Amino acid sequence: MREQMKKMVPVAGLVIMFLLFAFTTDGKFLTRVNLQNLIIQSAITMVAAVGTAFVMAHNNLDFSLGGACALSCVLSYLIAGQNLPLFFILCMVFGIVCGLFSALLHIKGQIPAFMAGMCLMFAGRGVAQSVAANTNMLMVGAASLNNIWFFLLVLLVVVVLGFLIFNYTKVGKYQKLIGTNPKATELSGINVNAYKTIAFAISGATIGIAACLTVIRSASIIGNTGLNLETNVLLALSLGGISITGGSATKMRSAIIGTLIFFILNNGLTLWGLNPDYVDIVKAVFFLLTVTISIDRSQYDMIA
Amino acid sequence: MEEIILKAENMFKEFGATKAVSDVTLELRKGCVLGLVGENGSGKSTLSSMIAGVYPPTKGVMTYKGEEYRPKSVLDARKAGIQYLTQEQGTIDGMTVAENMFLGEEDQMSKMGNVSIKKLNLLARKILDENGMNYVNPKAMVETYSFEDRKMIETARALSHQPAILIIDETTTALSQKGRERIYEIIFEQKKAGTAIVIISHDLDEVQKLCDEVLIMRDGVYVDTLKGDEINAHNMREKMIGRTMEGSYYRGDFECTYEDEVVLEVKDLSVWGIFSDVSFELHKGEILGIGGLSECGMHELLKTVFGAIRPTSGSVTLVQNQVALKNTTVSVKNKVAYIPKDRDKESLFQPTSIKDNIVASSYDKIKKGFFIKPSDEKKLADEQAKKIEVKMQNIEQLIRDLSGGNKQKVVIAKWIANESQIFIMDCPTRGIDIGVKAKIYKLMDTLKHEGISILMVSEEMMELIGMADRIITMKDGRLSKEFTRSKDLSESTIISAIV
Amino acid sequence: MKTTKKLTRFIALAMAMILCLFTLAGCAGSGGNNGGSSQNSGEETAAASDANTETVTDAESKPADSGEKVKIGMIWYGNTDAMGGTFYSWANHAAEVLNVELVWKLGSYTTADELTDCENLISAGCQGVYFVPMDTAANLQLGNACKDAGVYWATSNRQIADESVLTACEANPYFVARVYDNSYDVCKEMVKVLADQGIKKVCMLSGDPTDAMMVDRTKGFEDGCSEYGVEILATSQIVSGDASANVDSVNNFLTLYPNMEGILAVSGTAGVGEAIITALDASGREKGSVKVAAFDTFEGNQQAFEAGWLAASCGGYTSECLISLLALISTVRSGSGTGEVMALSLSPLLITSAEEMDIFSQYVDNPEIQLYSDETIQSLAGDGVTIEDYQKVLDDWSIDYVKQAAGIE
Repeated sequence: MREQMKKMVPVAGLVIMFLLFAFTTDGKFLTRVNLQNLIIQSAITMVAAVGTAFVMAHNNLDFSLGGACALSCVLSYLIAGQNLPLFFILCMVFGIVCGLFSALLHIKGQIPAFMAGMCLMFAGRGVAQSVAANTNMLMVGAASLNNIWFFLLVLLVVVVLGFLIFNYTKVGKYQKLIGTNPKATELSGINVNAYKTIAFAISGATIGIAACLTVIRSASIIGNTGLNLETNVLLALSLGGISITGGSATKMRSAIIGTLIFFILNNGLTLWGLNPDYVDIVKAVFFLLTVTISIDRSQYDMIA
Repeated sequence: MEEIILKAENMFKEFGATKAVSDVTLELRKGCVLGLVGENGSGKSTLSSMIAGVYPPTKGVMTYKGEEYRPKSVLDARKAGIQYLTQEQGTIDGMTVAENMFLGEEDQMSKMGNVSIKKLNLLARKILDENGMNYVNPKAMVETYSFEDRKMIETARALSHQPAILIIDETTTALSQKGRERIYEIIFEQKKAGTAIVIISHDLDEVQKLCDEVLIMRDGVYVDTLKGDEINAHNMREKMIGRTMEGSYYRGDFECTYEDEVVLEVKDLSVWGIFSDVSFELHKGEILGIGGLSECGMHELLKTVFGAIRPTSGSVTLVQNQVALKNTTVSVKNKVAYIPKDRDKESLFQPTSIKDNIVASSYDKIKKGFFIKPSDEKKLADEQAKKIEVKMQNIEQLIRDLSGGNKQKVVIAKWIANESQIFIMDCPTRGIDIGVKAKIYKLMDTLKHEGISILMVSEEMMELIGMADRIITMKDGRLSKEFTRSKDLSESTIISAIV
Repeated sequence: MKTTKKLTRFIALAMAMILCLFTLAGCAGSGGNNGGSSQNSGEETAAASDANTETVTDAESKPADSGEKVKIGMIWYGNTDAMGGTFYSWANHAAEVLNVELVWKLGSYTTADELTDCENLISAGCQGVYFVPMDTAANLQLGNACKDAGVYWATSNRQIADESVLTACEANPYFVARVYDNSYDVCKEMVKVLADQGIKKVCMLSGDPTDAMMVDRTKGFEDGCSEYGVEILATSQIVSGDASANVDSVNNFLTLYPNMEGILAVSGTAGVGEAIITALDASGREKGSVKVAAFDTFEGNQQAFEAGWLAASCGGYTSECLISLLALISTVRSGSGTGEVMALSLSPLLITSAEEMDIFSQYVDNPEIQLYSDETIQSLAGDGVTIEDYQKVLDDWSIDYVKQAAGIE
């Protein structure tokens, strides 16, 4: 019963927060424009979180997100310029390349994946900043896609695909098995490294998509493009009650619920007009509360 | 009758709704060896854990040396002179041997809060030498030693305290013949010194050999106490299961029966420093047993055959399609199954359900296109679990809640679901109570008659003699002898080939 | 066990349904008036605001005298450093004086984040949004969001470098004012200070050639030099974030041009100022034998002035933030813009002595001190304020003004 209740916390948190803001903002929260904005705002993080969930399921953390996002943007721009379709395709390609690079470092180089990701984050950010220092990368044309329908479409495709692959294919199921017991997975005849690599590639693809959405939102690429993406994604996943050590307890819904909690809270607090000195405190308290109650503690059972 | 040192009266222990122990009374006497036997889940470990201070009883009174005894923790019990050796690893990796030996007792070793490492090491050295373990370096990290050595280090630590009561819970299960012999010696020495000893074991021969008295439990309830001549495997088995065993325990026949067709060919296989030049052939419908001491390289040999360890030289080939088993993926794709010795660490996905464990290797079989239908998963898992009679509520039950025997059944079900044709089994009945053990033997026999080949490593000689068509023995990383199935094959013949 | 699971599933389902219901209700509630919100153009103000929140519509129809407080959204980088804290304090003070409500969003460093803040502020019912654009495109993106919602907006501290973006922004009827730094003039002034001290030969640390602001400053130095007869012996580009590389540049100047009398630096921030002074200190030259004119203030500039190395510096931009905000409030209150974007510029304070440096550090960018009186604030946010009035306040920005405003001799 207690376990069941714990699992409910993120969902309950989302619903309670939704109702709270629905009733305390004089209807500002429930306007169509605001709800549309919420979907658009959460899209970048949610897309990246869906991919990251695959990596987390096999018990790795991908820290490359922000840097990889900036890197794919910059490299794609240098090749494609203002050619939007080509730019988007290249973003995905470079995103996947970034993911494969992390996987290579992690698997062949035997480096913990979060460190490999961290390297990529700094390298990507560095490249983006030095290119941005000498190149003006305005992409005004991309801004025309900054509308609810495009974002809704992308979100729907990514979330549905992510959900299906995660729950109903070998790719997703093996990630969870690897996260639960890598040795047993290998001895069950599953190519652990290959499936880990696939997870990183999926994560990379979503980074690429997130990069496209970022460019559509900002109409330009700057040194700071995609800043804090990794922390936002990890925070969102934690809020969604994801299992930090991966394995069978990893659920795709964490990505969706967590991201929504994150952005609804941000939105709601602004609608309240809360004093900025308290915003971070309120957020911290709420995050702590949610995560404390909902986080999967099965990995601590042995100690306790 | 010797003096009673500990009396536990009307002990109860409940975990939630589960009654692990109900109204059991037990007496421990100086210099007496008491055997606690029962199937898995019968409550014998729970009972001894209460004495060792692992958890307090729900009800019941313990009297120790004439006073009421209520240990708050294992350390508490240790201080009182009760030492507990478990089947689990009791040492902590990342610390030295000496640090492990005095864990929790640093207070007595320290001056002003500073533990003197030097003193610690010296004392550890002394204790190790007393126990004939002069090859162990107290300053070395404990994980650099084998499981067996670590177990012996733990034992040495326990003995150094001159315990009044020594509880040995399944400790011998994971040990090789040599390690067991050493434990037996220790038991005799301690017995002479007047220590009360409790032995919990599945190995009934062991119990018969060592114990003065045997207390039998079933489903948390006291069944009977056997003394002297009453103690024999047959009696114990009957009382444990609560019915008379029918038919034979192992295979019924003593014929060496297999087809001429060779399915798997191992040629000059070597892993540097572990084993070398191993060659053998596995036939269709054959149970091929490999016996030896724990460190002879046989466990690694099985892993290498399965493709989990890369050999230095040599080859493993499936004869039918001439495929080399170079990694586990190729092996499983070609219907080769592997059941590791360390069930919990290497073959089970503990926090997942029975279903997830059974279907883990069969997704390729049930997927339709790119996707896997949950109903297909359920169907396959349900079929297999029922076929092999896994004791469970339903297939969604978590694997970690099952007993050892049932866990092993799930592992076997996984490979049957996968339609494996060759089974590589490393100690398939390790730590399993006899009820399930018999079922697993029967299952192996059934598989054999379906034309499936089994390559089995075992540390129990009786198991090899009882099940295998051929037995190959290994010694120091090389094959030493080969025996063919026969009624006359005795345990000592095989032991002489492996030591 | 089983019933528990069923129960929780049921609760989850119920919750999800409530969620959907409310979402639908919310959509229907405001969606009835207008079909498409994305195709709003500036001309369709009324329709656009209809499609959005009631609050905005209210504010649109009866602005200043409605009794409802005017609400302004403030997107600002932070309130913990000197400048951030000062403007935060000034803006709150001004809001109090003018009876305006401010909603702050702090800490966004990318255009995407600023856009999110902007959308949320508009949803919160803000009738005006003030921000410092993180890059040129931010003007476009946030400007469009404001335009779609019929919300006025103003910026400060950034010039719009790109011609097409500038044109697009100037066509945005809700764009009230943009105030940017006038670096060119103050750079020329700084050269004059050196020239007045008899310096004829200098070396220059120039900035990133793609950054409009840096180009402006470099040009200011160059034109100043030709105007006041100063010769530039050599130019080297600043390596931002790498102090030792900048020390090397100064050392190169010192060795290659022993006749160098001064150094011009387009930026003193990010360790550049410190690097120059460190290199000079280590050069063994007599203190004050080389005069430095460095843009922006930096750590240790007081001592550098006292030691005689530093001859001219500049800083202080908070005024332009305030003017931009006041212009925005004024427009929101009157309910109609002039139709044209007010383009204003501010020259930072020129600092030429240790004493002025001291005043600067004590009175400028100090959250405790309000340099503009309540009357000034009132008058600048009232009716009929013209672009000239704002520009005049900006032009008056000088050390002398600071002295007078702070009431020191």
